Amino acid sequence: MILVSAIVPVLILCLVLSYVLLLWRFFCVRAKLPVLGLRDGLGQVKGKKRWIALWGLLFFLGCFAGEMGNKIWAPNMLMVLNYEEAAKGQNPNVTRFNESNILSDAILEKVIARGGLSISTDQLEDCLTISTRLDAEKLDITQESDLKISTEYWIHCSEKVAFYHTNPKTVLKLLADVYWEDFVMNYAENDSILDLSFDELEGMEYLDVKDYLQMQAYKLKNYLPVYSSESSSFRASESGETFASLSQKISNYIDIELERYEAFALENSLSKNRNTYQSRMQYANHLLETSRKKEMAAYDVRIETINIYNAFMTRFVLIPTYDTDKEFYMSKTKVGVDYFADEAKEHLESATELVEEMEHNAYASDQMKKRQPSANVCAQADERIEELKTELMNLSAQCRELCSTYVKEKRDGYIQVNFASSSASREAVRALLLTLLLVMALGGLTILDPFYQECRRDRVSVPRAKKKKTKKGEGEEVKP
Amino acid sequence: MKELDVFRYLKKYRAAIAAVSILAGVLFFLIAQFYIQQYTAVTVIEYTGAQAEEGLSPDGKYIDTSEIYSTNLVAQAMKKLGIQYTEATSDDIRMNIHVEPIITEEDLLVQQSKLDNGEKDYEIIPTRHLVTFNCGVKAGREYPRKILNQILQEYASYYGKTHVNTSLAANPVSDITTKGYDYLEMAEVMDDTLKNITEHLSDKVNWNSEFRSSRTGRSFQDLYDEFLFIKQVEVRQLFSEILEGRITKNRDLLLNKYRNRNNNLEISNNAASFEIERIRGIIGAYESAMGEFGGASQAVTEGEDGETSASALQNNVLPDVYDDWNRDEDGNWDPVDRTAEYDQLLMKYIEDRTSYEHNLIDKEYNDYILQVFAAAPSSSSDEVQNTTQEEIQRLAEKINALQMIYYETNDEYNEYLGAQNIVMLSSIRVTERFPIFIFTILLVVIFGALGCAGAALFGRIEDFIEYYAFTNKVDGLPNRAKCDQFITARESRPISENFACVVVKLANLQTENARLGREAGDRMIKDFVGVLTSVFTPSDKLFVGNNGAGQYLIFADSLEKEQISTALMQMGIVLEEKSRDSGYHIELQHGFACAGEEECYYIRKLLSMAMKRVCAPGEEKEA
Repeated sequence: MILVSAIVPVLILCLVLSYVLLLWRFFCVRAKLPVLGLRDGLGQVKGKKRWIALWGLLFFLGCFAGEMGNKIWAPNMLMVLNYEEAAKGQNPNVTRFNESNILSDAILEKVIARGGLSISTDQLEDCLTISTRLDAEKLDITQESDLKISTEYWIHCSEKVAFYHTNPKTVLKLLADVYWEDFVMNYAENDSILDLSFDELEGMEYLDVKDYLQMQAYKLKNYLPVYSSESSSFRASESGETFASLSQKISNYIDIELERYEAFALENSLSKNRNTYQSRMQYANHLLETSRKKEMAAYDVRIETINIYNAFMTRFVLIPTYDTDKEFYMSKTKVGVDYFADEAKEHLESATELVEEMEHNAYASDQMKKRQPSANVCAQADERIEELKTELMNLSAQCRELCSTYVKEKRDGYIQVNFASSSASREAVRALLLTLLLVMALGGLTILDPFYQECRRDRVSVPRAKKKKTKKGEGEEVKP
Repeated sequence: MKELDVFRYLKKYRAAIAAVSILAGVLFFLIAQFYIQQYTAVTVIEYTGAQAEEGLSPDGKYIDTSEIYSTNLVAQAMKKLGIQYTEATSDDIRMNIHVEPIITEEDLLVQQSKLDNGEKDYEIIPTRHLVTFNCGVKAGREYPRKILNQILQEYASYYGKTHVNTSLAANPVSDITTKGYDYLEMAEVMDDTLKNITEHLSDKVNWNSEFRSSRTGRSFQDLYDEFLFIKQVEVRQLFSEILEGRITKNRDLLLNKYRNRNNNLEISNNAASFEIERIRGIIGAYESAMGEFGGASQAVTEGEDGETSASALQNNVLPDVYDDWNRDEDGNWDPVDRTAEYDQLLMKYIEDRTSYEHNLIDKEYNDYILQVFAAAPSSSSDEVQNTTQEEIQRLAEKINALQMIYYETNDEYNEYLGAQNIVMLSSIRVTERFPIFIFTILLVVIFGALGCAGAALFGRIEDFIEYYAFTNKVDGLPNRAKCDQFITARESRPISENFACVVVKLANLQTENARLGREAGDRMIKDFVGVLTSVFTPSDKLFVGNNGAGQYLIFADSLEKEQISTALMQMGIVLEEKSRDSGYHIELQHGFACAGEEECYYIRKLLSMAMKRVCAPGEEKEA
């Protein structure tokens, strides 16, 4: 098929040669050309019009078929970026878009591997070019309207790839597939966080299971807000689910189902290893108590400092201002004690949180002491865990479905790939123009032909006459 | 000599001028296209950080656009693109990258307006910059786009990492099991690491809770939750197992370490209590001094106008409250610290007191560890140690794996921040730097013009040479040397079928010279030559010359026998008429030979034939 791509260049070369020939003959015979006697020449053209028409037709068909065949065999590929960030020169994940990545070594290596091509990366890189419509425009930085980001990229694969036992269209298709996969993997929405794994639950304490499932549920819940803020009214056509409704479902799962499970576990003193769990809680409380003491020490030091702060050393100024309700409010300039009071408050809050956590741990530890859970209760707990897992998986599937639908609608596959279709009429016009040039050249040659033949005859007769003269042995030279 | 006619010279040398001009154009085009031409990749970037209009990056440092082509970024880009140093060096690329600020006319107008309004120190701080990269055409059109794209990609990531998202938690857990630490120490390192990571992640969640990595699929919140779960469940479990089982590699070493910690804490507290006492002293003295200054001031002001409140405060108000920045020894600008001296003293007091109290609490914790391990065996059994080691190994691997995800997420976050703070305003466009085609046309025109001038000069010089070396001064026709030159140029190749040679001779020139005088003889020659050249007009195809022996040679590329006969006859008639008017008599002899007629295709032979036939009119000799 590479020969198809050579048809048009060869025909154009023929056309150029015919014009060179025409010019050559014109200069050869111009002395013999009659000024007003071209009518005879035109008569010659009329006599050979069939011959010229035949050549013209053949040339036209060759040009048209060659051009069409080449366009079909080695079309240009247009990559259109569909997502809205593309217009800002960014990827869907709002990092910088780099169009040169399309022809990066990593991508080309994958293309070669996938297509089983017998070509090196460098050779393939030499065959591929990328361009945008903006390349043809000179950048004028003084014009705001000249600052544009291209979202369409033309990729051309040279016919040279045919030497490596493949063809341009196959290479471009492979490139489009590989780049799309790479693009989606590196820059598109990644919902792998929805792939929940429960392998770690094996052998985990019952109360830790609750924390683990809660963590997984929060992963689902945290995945939704971005979409929710982008399009809060989006609704899945089949399930009728919205981001807000799904988020609420997950909240319910955390607040109701996991809480019920926790209550069940505490009430029934569920533990895989009571001693270890209690020991852990005690150690945790020991650490928490250490932290609480530190927080309280920091708090006490600040209170002590506030108490020793000499009122004479500072003054504040009252500043009339507005409060959050836009009512007049008399504020004041801050002084050192304000900062110390803020810090004391923060330390106290932290200490309070620690106390709460310690209380919780102590309660859990105490509950574990109460009784040895029966096998039946353990079985119920295991069953409940399975239900919770199933429920979470179900929520995960709903999240994935809703987000996929939204992403599909919003991004439309991120990249659209089109191959340039050749317009038969345009190619026909082009071929016709070339044919017209050829016909003109052939016409010119036909007109000049009799004069050129005469000229040739004159030239040929000289050596013959010379030969004859040499045989006679005549001739004498005289100096002027 | 011939008249000066520039167009004659141009006509004569037009082919040479055109050929040389076109050849020069083609040569220049080829050389320029492959050796001079460059591709230019160009784009426009804009810094969009909150302080960008003040010329500052988000970390408060001045935006330095030269970072774009810094060695490390260019080297990284080259490495990513697989460009070897044999193809291009880092400096080759750096020297060809240019970053220019874009200052619009509007900016200049604003500046002028500000200056006119008295803002003498106003300066334009452009946020938009034009970034260009030039390179030769050998590597292809895609090369500059690829280089500039990659460098900007690296720069965006670097900018995000260096100027926006500067903190990243370290991971000392990666090789913890190979260090020979005791189990409790390993658990402590893990706990500290996780605490550090969760604090960093907590900050990142506060900055940007919506960011989610496309490569890892994780947000910072997800990572925070995962690390926190490991810290609160698995590491605590490990701690409790170690403490419960009193697991140690070497009890004495461990106990010594904790005892040493306690000693250090005591030493530290002794120093702290000393400092606390002194700070209290400073505070007291400061209060007393301030009270006295206030009192003195109060006394003065009361004596003058009776207003006391404002003057009592004057010593506590800081000067230069309007200065925002101070420059340090290294020339860096730092925000002015306006904290009052008294508050600073109290802050130092808080810091020391808190440290003192914390040391006491840490000592308690150490005592707890010492108490637990006091009853431990000198070294735990191998089985227990192996189990614990495996557990620590598993946890370390888990933390490492998660840490790698965190790093990858953070890398993407840096790219994200770079793209947020450095916005591309234009796609990278690759254009040819020089309009070689236009230059080529200009060169052809210049060569054409120079060729014309040269042709005029050369043509005129040729005229001079022609006149002084190859022209007979009496009749103005080419002389013998020119005739020889003409014949020599044609003797080696056959002449055409229509070539003709005519020899004309003034038979009675000497007689008339003797009879009428030399001047009349010269006039006769001139009249004759005038008639001869009017009948046989010299041109590219017809040569008329004087061979110096009284013979006039005419060589015509295309002349029939009949045409020659007619022309000679016409010439005879004209000369006869002229003779009658001028009083002299011209006796003309001529002979001619046509190549086709004689079947003689060599000029010398043809001339010889023509000469042999020279005779008076009506006495033609036959060959």
